[in-house]
Amino acid sequence: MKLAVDVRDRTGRLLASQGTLLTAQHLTVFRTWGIKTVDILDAGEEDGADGGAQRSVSEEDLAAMARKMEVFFRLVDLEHPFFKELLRLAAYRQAVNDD
Amino acid sequence: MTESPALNQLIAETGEILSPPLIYARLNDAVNHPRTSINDIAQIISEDAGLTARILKLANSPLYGRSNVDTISRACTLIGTREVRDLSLAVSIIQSAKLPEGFSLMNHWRHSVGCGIIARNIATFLREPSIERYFIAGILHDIGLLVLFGKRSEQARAIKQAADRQLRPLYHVELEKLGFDHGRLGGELLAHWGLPANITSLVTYHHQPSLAEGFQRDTTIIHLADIICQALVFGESSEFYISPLDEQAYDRLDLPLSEIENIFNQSDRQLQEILPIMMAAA
Repeated sequence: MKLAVDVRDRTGRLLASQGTLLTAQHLTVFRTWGIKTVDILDAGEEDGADGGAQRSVSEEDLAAMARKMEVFFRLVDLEHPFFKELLRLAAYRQAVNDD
Repeated sequence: MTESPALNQLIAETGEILSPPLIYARLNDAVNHPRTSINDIAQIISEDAGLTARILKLANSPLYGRSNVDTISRACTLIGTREVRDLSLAVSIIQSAKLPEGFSLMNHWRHSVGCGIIARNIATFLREPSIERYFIAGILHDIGLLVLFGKRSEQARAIKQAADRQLRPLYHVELEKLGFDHGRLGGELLAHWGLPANITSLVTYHHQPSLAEGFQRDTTIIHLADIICQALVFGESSEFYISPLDEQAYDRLDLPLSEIENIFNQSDRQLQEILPIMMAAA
């Protein structure tokens, strides 16, 4: 069961993001912060219509896109975990957009 | 005034392309006056119908949890009076900037508002106090570039080309050619307009947060948000290559790597809703 929208407390602080797979712990947190109802995705929506957030890209396509995007990372240390993660996310985002 | 005549001259010329709205000075006076009430602030903002509409739309946007805010007084209660004052400035600047042809304001603001949203979400995750100033500092972090491209267009283009050709960060070349970078120019301009140091320092040192005395951690949040924005192509910063990390910047925050994707996805969705509110014609 996945969330259809972000869940926030009364001050607007994010408690769980859209697309999060709900667990008993989430429900405890929601109750603690006074959230009585949340919108969830239908089974069909969970399979792929959740805004593209979970779309799958093959490892090969991802690696090819990462190699293409490395040009923009020329001034940074790609051995640094922060930039490794950014390159992975950038490649994923680009691959999904190109799809 | 700064010790750099070239920088002072640029700030003096800025009024032709960018100026704080008249309302900002009145809001500033009101916010700083001990006997001002929220209703006084609301009254001043309400005189500008376009600004009122934008502040209300922002207050009802996902940034504030879609809170059914229908008056500026309620927006002030929800967001804070100083924050509403600074948001009014940011929104007005976006609306009023005049730049020469060939400079894409849409790309500039997409990057800047994206940076503000990411910075705000990082600050929220880290449970920092006063998160709105990260949003505002993010929106305004590259305002110095607007001034450079608006008032020294040929020189700004030459600096950008040199940076791209020599594989160097833009701010390095700016420091070499001008004696100051766009961060410093932006920070000095905002200080000249009366913005507080907890915003101007973040703008001044967004490429070198380790130099931001007293605001290292806050500035690092803008620094990381800017880099995330560049890497994930939120609009177009003027940097072709993604900016390097300042020394120890990443370790300073304790931001788990696994959180970057969540922050990015959340920010991406928020940007889709916030940008049209900021950019729409009055």
